[in-house]
Amino acid sequence: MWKKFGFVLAVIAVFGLMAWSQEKPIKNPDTIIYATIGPAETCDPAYAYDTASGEIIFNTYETLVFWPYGVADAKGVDLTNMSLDPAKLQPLLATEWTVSEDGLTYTFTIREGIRFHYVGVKKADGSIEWVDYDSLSPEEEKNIVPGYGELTAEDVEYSIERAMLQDRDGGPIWMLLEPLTGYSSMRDLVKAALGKKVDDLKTLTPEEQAMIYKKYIDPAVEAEGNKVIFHLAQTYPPFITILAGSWGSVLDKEWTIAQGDWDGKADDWAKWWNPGGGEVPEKSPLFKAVNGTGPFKLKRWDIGVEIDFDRFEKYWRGPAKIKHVVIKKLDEWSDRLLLLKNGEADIVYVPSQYLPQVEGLEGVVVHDPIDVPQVALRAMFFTAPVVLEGNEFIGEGPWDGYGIPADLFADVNVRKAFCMLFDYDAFIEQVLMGKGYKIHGPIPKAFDWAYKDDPSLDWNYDPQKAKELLMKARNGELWEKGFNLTILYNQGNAERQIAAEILKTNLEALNPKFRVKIQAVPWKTYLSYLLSGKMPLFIIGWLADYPDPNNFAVPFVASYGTFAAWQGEYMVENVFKPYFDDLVKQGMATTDKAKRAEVYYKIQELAHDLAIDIWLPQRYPYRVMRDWVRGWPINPIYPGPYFYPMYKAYD
Amino acid sequence: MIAYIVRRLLLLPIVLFGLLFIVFQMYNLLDPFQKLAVFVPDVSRLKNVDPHLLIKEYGLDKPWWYQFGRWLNNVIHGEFGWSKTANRDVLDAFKRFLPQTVELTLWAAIPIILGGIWLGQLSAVKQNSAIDQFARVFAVTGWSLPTFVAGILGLFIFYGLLHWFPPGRLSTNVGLYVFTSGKFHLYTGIITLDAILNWNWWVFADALRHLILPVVTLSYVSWALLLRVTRSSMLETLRQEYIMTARAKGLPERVVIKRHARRNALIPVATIAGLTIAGLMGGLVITETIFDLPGIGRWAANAARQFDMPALLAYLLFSGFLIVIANLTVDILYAVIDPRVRLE
Repeated sequence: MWKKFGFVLAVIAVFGLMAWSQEKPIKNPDTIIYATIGPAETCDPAYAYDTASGEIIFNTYETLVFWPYGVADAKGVDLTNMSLDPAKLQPLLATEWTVSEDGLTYTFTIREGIRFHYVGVKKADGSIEWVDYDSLSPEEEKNIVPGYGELTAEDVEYSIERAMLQDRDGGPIWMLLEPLTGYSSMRDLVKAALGKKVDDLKTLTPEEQAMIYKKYIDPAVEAEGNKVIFHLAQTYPPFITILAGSWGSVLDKEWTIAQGDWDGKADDWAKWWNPGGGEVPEKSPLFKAVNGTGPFKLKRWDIGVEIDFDRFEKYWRGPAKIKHVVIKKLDEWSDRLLLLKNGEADIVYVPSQYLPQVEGLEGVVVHDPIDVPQVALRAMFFTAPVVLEGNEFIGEGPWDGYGIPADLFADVNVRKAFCMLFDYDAFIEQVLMGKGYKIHGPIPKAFDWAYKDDPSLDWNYDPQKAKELLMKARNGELWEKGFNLTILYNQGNAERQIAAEILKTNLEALNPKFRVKIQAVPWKTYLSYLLSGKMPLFIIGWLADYPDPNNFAVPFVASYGTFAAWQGEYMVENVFKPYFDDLVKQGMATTDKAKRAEVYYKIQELAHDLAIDIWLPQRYPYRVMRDWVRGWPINPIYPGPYFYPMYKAYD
Repeated sequence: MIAYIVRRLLLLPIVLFGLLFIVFQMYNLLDPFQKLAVFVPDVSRLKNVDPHLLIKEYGLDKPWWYQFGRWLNNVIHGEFGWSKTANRDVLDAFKRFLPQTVELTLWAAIPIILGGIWLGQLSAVKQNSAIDQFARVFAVTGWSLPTFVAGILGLFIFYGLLHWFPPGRLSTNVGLYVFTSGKFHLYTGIITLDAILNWNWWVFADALRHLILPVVTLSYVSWALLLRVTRSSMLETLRQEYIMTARAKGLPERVVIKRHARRNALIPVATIAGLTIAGLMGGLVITETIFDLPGIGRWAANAARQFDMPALLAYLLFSGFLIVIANLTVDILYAVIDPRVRLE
C-alpha cells in the first residue's frame, strides 16, 4: 500500500516540478489571452449583430473608415486621440472621401495594393485554388490571379450589395437599407416594389428579383475604377458612421462566391436572403469561413469554447506585434480570476461586483474609473395604459378591483413625481459603488455635440415636490385611494431589483396607502410581459449601433421606435407622436451639425418636461489586466479589444 | 437470455416517449409570448421585428402535439435541429462535447470504482479498526461536500496557490499545438487517447495534468456510496458459512478474502458501479463548469436553463437511452457473475 502511495506522490511531484519549471516572467509572451463570457454567434459581417461576433470581425475584417482610439493599458490611460466625432474618422480601406452638397452622394477612393488573408492562385490545370497568402514565396506570388484576394472597388460594391440582399431577420442590415433605399427591410422594400406583401422572399420569381435588384440595390452602390459611390435614397447624416460598423466590412467578392454565397447575379439573389430565418447562423456560407484584410486571421473557432487567431504576417500596415490571440469563453468567475492571478490570462472580463477581488492583486492593474462616456443608456420606462386582463402580477386593489388604474402613468404629473422619488445618489452608491454619474436622456453624453449639458434637465430626489404632485393627481383620488403596485425584475438582476427597491421605499414612505410589491420572475416571463404591455414599469438598456444621436432618438422617443410600442398606446398617441416624431425627422433632414444639435436639444428638453422615463445613472467604465499588457486601444464604440497595436512587455 | 434482452429493449421507446412527453408538456405551459422569449435572449434582437410575425413563423401558437410531431418527423430524417446555446447543430454539439465527458468519466471511473471497492473491502475486513473509522469519515465528508465547493477549494489551493493543476482541458500553448498546428491528429476527441495514438507524451502529460483535479474532486465526492455498499456487502458475505468453512480448511486470510468473499460481495456493487458510471456519463455539470471542460453536462445545463428545446430533447434521448442500456447491462452482468440469478 505504501508503494502505491509513494507512486502517487512521485507523480504529483513530477507535475509540480513541471509547473514550477514553466514559471517565466511574462507568460505566453507571443500570445494575448482574453477570458470573457458571451459566445460569438457568427463570422459573417452581414449576419452578426452581437458584440462577441463583432469582436471577431473587428480584428479580421476591415471597413472603409475607422474610429480613432485612445490607449488604456497597464502603463496608464491616454484619451488624447480618442474620438466619436465623424469629422475625425480615419481612412482605412478608403484613402479619402467626399460628400455631395445635398448629402445624397458619398464617393470613396479605395486604397490600392491590399491583399486578403487568402488569395486565388492559378494551378497547373488552370483551376484556381485559395491559399494562405502568408505561405507564398515571392515567386509563388506571381501566380496570384488579379482580383482574387486583392482589394478592389468591386469588392466593396459586392460586400454592401450582398449584405443588403441578405438582410436576415433580427440582423443589422436595416442600417444599410434605410439610408440606401429608404426602407428598413428587404420585405418592406419588396412590398413597395411589387405592391403586395411577400413574407418569404425566396418565393420571388427571377423576373421579380431582377427588377428589385436593378431598381433599388444596384444603383445604391456603384464601383467606378478605384472609387465606390453610394447613392442615398434620403439625407442620412449618420451614414458614414454606419459604414464604420462590422456590417460595413469588406469581403473579397471572388472568394465569397467560391464559398457558395451570392454570385452577383441580378435575378438570383433570393436563395441567400435571410439564411436560416435569422435563427440558424450556420446557413450563411460565411458562418465560419473568414477571409479579411485585417491584422489577424481566424485560425480556429471552437464554437462556445475558444477562438484562436494568428497574425497576418503580410498585413498591409505591417504585421501586428503579437503572434497569437486566444479568446477563451469562461463563464465561471473563479476560473477567470485564477487565470488572471496566475498570468495565464492577460485580460479578463470582471463583473463590477467582483472588482474588490482583483484590486491589489499582485501583477494585476485595474483602471477604475476611466473617464470615458458610455454609448449606452438605461432607463425605467412607464407604461400607459397597462394591460390588466390576464395580468397575474397586477394584484387587487381600489381601482375597479385592480391594484392600479390602467392609465396610472398617463398623467404627466404622476410620471414627474416618480422621477422625483427615485434616489439617484442611493443608486450610485449601492449599485455603482459610487463610481457613477447622473444622466438625462435620450441622447448619451458621449455625443457631446448633441448632449445638452444642462443640470436642470436632470431629475433630483425631491420627495416634497413629489408629494405635492401626487396629492393633486386625479383630483386627489390617487392620494385618497392609494394603490398596490407590483414591480417585476428578472431573477438574478441585482441592479433592477435595487432600482425597484429604491422606488418602493420612497413611495411607501410618502403615503401608507401606496403599497409596492417587488417580485422576481424568470427572464422569459419578464420579456413576455414587456412585449405584451403588462408591466407598469420596466427597465431596459440600449447599446449604440452607430455613434449618432438618431440611433437613440428613434428607439426612445419616436412613435415607431422599439420602445414606444412597449410603453402603451396612450404614450404612443399622446406623447411620442405629437411631440417627438417631427423632431426626430428634422434631426435627420440636415447634415448641418449645429442645426441637428438644436433639434436634439429640444428633444431632451421635451423628454424632461414630459417625464417619459426615469433615467438610471451610469457607471464609469473600467479595465482589468496583467501588468505587462501594452497598447490596449480604447473607444466606447468598439465591440471588444482591438489587438493590432497590443503586445506584452515590461518597460 | 436473448428473449429477456429483447423484452427489456422494448422498454426503451416507452421510456423515451415518456420523457419527451413530459418536456413538451412543460414547454406547453408557456404562452406564445413566453415561448418567444425563449428564442430571444436579448431585447435588442427585437429591433424592427414584429413579435407576432415571429410567433407565427415558429408555430409557437400551435398545439403541443403539432410541435412534437414536427420534431419527431425531423429526427426520423436525422435532423436534430439547431442548438442555440451551443450555436451548433445538435449532432455536431454531441460530437464535440461527448468525448470530453467520456474521457472524464473513464478516468474518474477507475479511482472511483477501484478506490471505492478497495477502501470498502478494507473497512469491512478491518471492521471497527482505525482504518475503518477513517475510511467512513473520509467517505461521509466527501459525500456531504458539495461538488462545487470541493472543486473551487481544490482550484484555489492546487492552482491558485501551488500552480500545479490548472482548469481547462489543455495549457494554451499545448492547445494551440493540438488544434491549430496541423501536426496532431484528433482521432477520437478524447485527448489522452489521441495523444497515445499520436505517440505524443508531451500532450499526454499536459492533458493528464489538467484531469487530475477534476478526477480527484469527482472521486472524493463519489466514493462514499461505493465504499459503503462494498463494506456492508462484504461484511455480510464474511458472515456466511462457507467463509467459515474456508477458514477452517486452513486457507490464508488473503486467499479467503480474494477468492471467496470478494467475488460474492461484488454483486450488489456491480449494480451501483454501473449506475454510477452511467450517471457520470450523463454529464458532470458542476465539474465541467468549474474546471472549464467542454462536456455535454455543461451544455445540457445551459440548454435547460435557456429552454433550448432541440438540445434538451436530444439530450433526453441520449440520457434516457444511456440509463436503460446501463440498467440492462448491469442486470446481465448480474446473471453472469452470479450463477444463481436467472433472467426471466
